Amino acid sequence: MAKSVGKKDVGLLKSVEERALHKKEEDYHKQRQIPYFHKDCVSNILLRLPLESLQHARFVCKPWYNIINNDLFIDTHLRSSESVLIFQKIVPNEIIHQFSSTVMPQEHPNTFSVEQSFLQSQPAPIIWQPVTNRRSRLSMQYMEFGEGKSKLGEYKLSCLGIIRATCNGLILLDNKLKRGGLVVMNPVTRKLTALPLGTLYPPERQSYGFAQSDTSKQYKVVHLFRDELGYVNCEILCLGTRNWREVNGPSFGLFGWLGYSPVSALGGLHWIPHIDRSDYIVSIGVDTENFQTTQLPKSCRTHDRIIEMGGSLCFVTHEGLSIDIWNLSGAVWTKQYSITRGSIIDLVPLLSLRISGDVIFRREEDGSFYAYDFKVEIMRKIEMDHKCFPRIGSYLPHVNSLVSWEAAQAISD
Amino acid sequence: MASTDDKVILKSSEGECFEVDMAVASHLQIVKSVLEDCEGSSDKVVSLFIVEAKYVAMIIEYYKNYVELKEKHEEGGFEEKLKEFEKQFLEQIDKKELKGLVMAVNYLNAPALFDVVCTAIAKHIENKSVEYVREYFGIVNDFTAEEEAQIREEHRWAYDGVNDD
Repeated sequence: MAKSVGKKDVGLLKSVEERALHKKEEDYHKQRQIPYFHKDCVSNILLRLPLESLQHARFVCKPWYNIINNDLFIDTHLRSSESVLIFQKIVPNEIIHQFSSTVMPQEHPNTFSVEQSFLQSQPAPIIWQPVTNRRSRLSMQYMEFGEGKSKLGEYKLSCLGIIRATCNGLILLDNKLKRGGLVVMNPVTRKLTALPLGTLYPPERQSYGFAQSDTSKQYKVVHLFRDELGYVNCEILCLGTRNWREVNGPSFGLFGWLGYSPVSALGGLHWIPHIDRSDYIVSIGVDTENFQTTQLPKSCRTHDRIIEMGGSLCFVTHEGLSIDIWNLSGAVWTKQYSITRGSIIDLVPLLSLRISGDVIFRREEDGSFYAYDFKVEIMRKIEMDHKCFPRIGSYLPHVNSLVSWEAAQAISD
Repeated sequence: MASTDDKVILKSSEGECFEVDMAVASHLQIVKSVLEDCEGSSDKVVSLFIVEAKYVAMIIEYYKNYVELKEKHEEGGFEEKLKEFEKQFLEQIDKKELKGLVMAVNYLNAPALFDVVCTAIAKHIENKSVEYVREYFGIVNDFTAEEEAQIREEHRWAYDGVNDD
């Protein structure tokens, strides 16, 4: 058999050779084209990218776009992102002339103006009200903390309104194009939506809370305002619906002051209701929409606060030369920790960092920041890469993320 | 001395064999479950069909050090020592090999190393242009010009500077 290599066999040999060649070519193309890269690997790599890079990674290809533009991915990324403090400052030396379609003077070419974005989205041109011209434009910035230092971050975003509340990477902002109006936006993605008008009251007589329901995942804006008779009323807006709903407010006399921002924890929003010497907190359940009070273990003084720590609600209070941290569980406060070294009497607790667990304080006397590290039990003054700046409004806990109040949309192949 | 019972043989896609301590191999979930399935059998060879020898060697090196460091620093300091080693370990791997390694580690289901390699790749592509990332992963752009224009409009924030590589 082996001897008889006839013409027929030569033909066979040739076709085998051809096929091998063809295969080689095919393999070459396969290698050049998309090598099989497991989706798990891609999403795990993308989860470790900072937000700036994620924004670019969207444009790589459709599968990547869909991995990133996915609610579960966004949520997982949010969970692994560290907290920051968001704040606003006045844009220096700038007079706003006209808010027309002409280019405004800007410190960054890519600066995004909240108001201009709304004006552009209006179907018909509106005449700019001159009153807003006298207002200063505010730029939005954030502070990151790590290894005893703080770094300043820019959103390249300007607006006229003040941030009223934050939740999960979203902010609630005054809408200066409409008196008493509000905007919800994500300063990272710049996605924004105007909320319908609620009851109008001057800022010192109202308080806004912003929270997400643990069960329905819906975002709610809670508006408290004190009427002429001294009653504190409450209305709630669910994002996605277009109207404010009145709910039963807290009992008469519970609130002495509405100036403290509420803290979101344990499925509720919690207020310290007096400037000084509060003996209780006032809370509203995000799902139940009922108000209740909880006695504090001791009176809350001007440098004491409640903060959210790892999902729990904590009361951080000065006790002599130390700072005690109490944890609320089932209406009972338990002393969880005592900071005995390095505490200063005018340190005001601002937030607990969600990943590192450090608690950030701000010293009232000079506006400097301190961080308490539970692992090494040290209170450290934070080195800043920037000067203290004139700031407007408060420092609010925030987290930079891609979250939205609407479900993410996938792009089809 | 460890008896041969404590050893297992891992066979790469090319058929190359690696004798490994059980303590090391048990970090690879897939090996662990294969061995559990054939418990009692004297044959302790596990074929890692799709994993090339060079990656098998890297993975073994990582977990050998992991196990040694863990033993040596039982009382503390393990995490810092491991970090130090991970840095050296990653320095000897070129950027193209990282891709092969992450797929191998994903297949073998070895969480600690998976985390290390994913982080390394993320660091590598962090400030790179879209074009670079496509080339690195061998991805073809499947957006049409209209689609790309549309999503660029939707995500205008994305435009700021990148380092080209």
